[in-house]
Amino acid sequence: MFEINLFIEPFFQTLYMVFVSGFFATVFGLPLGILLFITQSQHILPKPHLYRGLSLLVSGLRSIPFIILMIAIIPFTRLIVGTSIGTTASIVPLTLCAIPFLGKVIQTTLQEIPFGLIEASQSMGASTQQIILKILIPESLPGIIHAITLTLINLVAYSAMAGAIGGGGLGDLAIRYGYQRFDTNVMFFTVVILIVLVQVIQYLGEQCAKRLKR
Amino acid sequence: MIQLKNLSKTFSTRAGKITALQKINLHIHPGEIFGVIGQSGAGKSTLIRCVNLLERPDEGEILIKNKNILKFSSSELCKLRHHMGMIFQHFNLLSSRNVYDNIALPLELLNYSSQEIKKTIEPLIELTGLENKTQAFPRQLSGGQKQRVAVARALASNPDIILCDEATSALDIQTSHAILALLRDINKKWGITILVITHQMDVVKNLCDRVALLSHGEILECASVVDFFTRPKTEKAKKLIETLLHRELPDKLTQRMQASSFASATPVWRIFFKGQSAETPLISVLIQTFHLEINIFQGNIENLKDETLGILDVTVKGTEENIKKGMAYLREKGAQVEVMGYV
Repeated sequence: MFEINLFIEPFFQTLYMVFVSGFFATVFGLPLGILLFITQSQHILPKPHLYRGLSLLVSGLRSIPFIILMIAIIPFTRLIVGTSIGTTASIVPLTLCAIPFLGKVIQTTLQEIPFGLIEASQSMGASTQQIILKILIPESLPGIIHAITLTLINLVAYSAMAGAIGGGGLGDLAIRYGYQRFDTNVMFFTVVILIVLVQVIQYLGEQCAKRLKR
Repeated sequence: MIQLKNLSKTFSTRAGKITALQKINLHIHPGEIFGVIGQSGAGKSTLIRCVNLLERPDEGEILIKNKNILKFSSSELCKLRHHMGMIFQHFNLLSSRNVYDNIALPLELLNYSSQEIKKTIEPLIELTGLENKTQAFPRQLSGGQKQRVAVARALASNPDIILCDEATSALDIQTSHAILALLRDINKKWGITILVITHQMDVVKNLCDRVALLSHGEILECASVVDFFTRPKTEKAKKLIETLLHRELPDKLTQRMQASSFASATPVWRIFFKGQSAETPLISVLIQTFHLEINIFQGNIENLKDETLGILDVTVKGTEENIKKGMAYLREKGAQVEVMGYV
């Protein structure tokens, strides 16, 4: 049949790509989502120009197909990680693709906080920073966890394309063995691993969110 | 304490401009409970939200302790808000925090240490009767309990002004009476000035010292609660108070009632009894001494905060002279008689 060893390296490559880019996506995407939320007109930090600019950027980035984004930003990738091929290099486009997605989902999540809560905290004399740290984030934490889970699952799917710039990973394995060499077994098993991986991420995310929900 | 001068506010919406407030002038004294009553859409919410600048007025001045807060910098405004509590119709508690932490929030914002917080809020938990609930989360509480938490939270930063935005409108009658009693207590104990806005006459009756009637962004009346109920100055105010108190005369009567007297007419009186006059058996005197035939068709007793007010709507049959004498007698005894019409 096939060697189990065949899967070990791609599996860890996928995990590496998904979680490292997921981490950076959270680092940038969470503030982006909050910024999108508070800079809307009639909100706690209304900055219409900034909001319009960010919105445009977010929807622009989200509408570029990942495979094209990955190739289009090669110079940028090289600037950041020093190379444009390999697993580490693929983290740059993956992160760049996940940031606007996460930002948008987090903005939507924050939108669900009753505005009365924000007003109540304003009436207590909370500063913008205090509102973000003491009200917005704690109140929407389950939703934020959900958003990050969703992003990780999306990253699993996108990481399959990373093979195009030599990123490796399970998706790349499936394409090379299954599609190019007609080795259906390898492809099938890869798909099974991917399904299990997505299920595990989803389960952990849901458990986390559930525990935080009051 | 709070002075509003020529306050105006207009909202522009897609449907056009809506004037929420028009040249509002109010002066709220330290230590009093002041009510603003009006029907929905009268501009009450905008008015109270202007006082801590959740809403900025277009024109006018807001003086708090003689300082115009419209000229405050954002840090001065934060400081001001730290010393003003606010209570909302929908409680606005943080669902992610338990009762204790919700009450602690205003102090956390002021960077108090956890010991200082504990010291400050424990008496408040006791005052609001939440001793058994400190670890509960808001979704496990009833409406009344939630509002108690909100009251304790509003008191945490030791405010000298509390703003109540329809604080009892989402509660049932019993619970809302308990919350009103709590607010009265707080006012008495610490002399905190309370500004209340509401559409419930009950709140005005049970809680307020003075009251203003707001309609379409304008103040129609501003008076002590007793005067407000017994002698409204404008016709419009009178109508609104009647609607709000469910005190309109029955349709059957109004249909045949005429504004001026005619031959063999029977006058319709509304008699207000206050304090002393409520204790003398005035109606039986009218019947026995003046031989009047009194037909009572509606009446009720309003228990105001500091006074009891009786209202009786009657038709009076008798000789013209006796009717005159009867009215003079009532007035002499301190009751107030108003001729509503003739049937």
